[in-house]
Amino acid sequence: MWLTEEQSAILALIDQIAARYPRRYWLQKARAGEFPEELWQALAQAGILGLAIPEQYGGSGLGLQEMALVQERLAEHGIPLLLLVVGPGLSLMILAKHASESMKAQVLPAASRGERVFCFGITEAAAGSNTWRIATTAERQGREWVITGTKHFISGADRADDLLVVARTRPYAADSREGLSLFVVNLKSPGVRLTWEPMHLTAAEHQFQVTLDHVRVPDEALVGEEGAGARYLFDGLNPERINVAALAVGLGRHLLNRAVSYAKERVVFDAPIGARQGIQHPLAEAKIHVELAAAMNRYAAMAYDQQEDAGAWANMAKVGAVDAALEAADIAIQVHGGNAFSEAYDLLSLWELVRLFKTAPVARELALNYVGEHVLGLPKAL
Amino acid sequence: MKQVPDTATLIRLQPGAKQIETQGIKWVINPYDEFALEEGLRLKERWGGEVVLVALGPARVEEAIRQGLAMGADRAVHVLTNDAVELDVWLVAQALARVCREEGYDLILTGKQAVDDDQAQVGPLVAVALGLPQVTVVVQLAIDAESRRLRAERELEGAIEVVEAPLPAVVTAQRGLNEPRYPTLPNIMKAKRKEVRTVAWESLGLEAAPLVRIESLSLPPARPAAKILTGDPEEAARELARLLREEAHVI
Repeated sequence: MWLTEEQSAILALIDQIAARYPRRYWLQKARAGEFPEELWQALAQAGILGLAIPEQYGGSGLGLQEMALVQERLAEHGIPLLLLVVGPGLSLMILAKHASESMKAQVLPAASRGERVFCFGITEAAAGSNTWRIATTAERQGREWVITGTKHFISGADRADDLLVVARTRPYAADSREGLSLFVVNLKSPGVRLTWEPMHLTAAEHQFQVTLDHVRVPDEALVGEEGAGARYLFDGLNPERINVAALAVGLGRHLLNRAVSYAKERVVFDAPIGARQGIQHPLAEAKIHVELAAAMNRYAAMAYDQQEDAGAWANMAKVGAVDAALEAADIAIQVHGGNAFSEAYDLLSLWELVRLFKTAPVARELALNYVGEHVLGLPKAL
Repeated sequence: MKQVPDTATLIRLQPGAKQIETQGIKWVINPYDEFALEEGLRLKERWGGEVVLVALGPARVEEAIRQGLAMGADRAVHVLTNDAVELDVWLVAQALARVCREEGYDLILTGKQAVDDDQAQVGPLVAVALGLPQVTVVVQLAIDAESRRLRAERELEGAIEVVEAPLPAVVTAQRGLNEPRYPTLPNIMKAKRKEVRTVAWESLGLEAAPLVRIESLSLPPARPAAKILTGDPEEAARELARLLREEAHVI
């Protein structure tokens, strides 16, 4: 339909990769607590990890629209990857836009090939969603920075090579949006400690607490200018929201496909349950909501690619897509009756991930606040 | 290379139609042709040269051609047909042979058959049209560039046959010959800039007189519902034995 030739080809490529590494491969890995390395390598070799990296740094120079399509289609096959969101879909987006030429030349070609994998560290236990109040600090000492603090819920930190971390380089001041800075920290550096955080979540990645105890990084590890991190962040956090919305759309489709094939075949009271309006209508409604969200999310990605402020569309699409995916998950569970709760049917495992997206990477309430204040022009929500 | 409906696609027929309903079909490269293309790419990586993709069909085939170019073929020729032309394998083979003659060749690779009409004739007939040796159903292929000969393993029922032939030749690929690569994103980007020469069917001047015509097309009859025996295992076993003997006549 409205796909470019390249976008269709990318989707066909993802379909091929998914045929080789389908949901059952992904699920087996996730349940064993192993990273789906073969799938990741296939994506790396196909050039997907460098999709949005400029061509002069070894990537393909495409945009967030293509990145979001990839996430959407992987999720539609039931093989979502959070590391693809926080790395190529977030951290590398920021680096491609705001890192110095020398950092780009050093990091991006290896990242395009999948040889340097990034995770992202912003969340802290005390600050929660209030990033202004983070306690991780970076202090300049000569030609080095010394970073200290603890980050929570870092997806895929065990598989990653580097952490793009948000730290304070100046003390908090209520009236200032300056003072946050971004650093690239090699996870093998002395003073970095990973603590596994077991989750009630079926995912390809583990979650970690990452403690930085006087970790020394060179001056060149600072991304862009000192203190200007907040401005850079939204060039990564908006893509993250759009990528997560894309995952939600894809998971929503996956769940609906599963529900529809079950509803066609399951015969109770002498008719397939899918023939009954009580089943059909909620499925139709969920499908409508998922596809509405898909269209809005595409709009959000276009806005970002065209250098417009994508915040409004990104937040709206994220809420819309996750609500729709949860609706799809709920009706899929209902359609499957008691079987939905059997491990073999692998449905609640999908619900867990979709439900997580209502809370993270941005809570539904905070996204609504954004829409209230910045889209509708209401007073700052309390 | 042929574009065929994905084998998972639900095939629909209008009553009386001599072609399947093409609306809503997901099209893919014929899997056996993917093996052929992959083998061509590997030979090129080993020996140098050029891989030229030749496909025949309506405008939609362009998508499969781009996929083939994205896998690494250097350029392509698309013999563009329209639905008004009635084709059979011999016409198709003659058209492809004519393009091959124009392009020049050391080796012509194709799938052993297309998974839609399963005729398995295009490769052999191209060889006939060009007067070339043909080796079909190949699972392993080695080329000796100096002596300009090929050595191929063919899969037979329960046996492997090893044959040799001089180049140029036509080889048809069987599953197992190789594992086709994915197109990579950089190659997808490059494929856009690669040359696809379009040759109108009409310009080939082939007489539209098919030797074989489709008379009718119908879906296979629906399978009768399976019989499920329930109840006491001993009785069910006895009933099963009776049915196998009296109805299925197999014991």
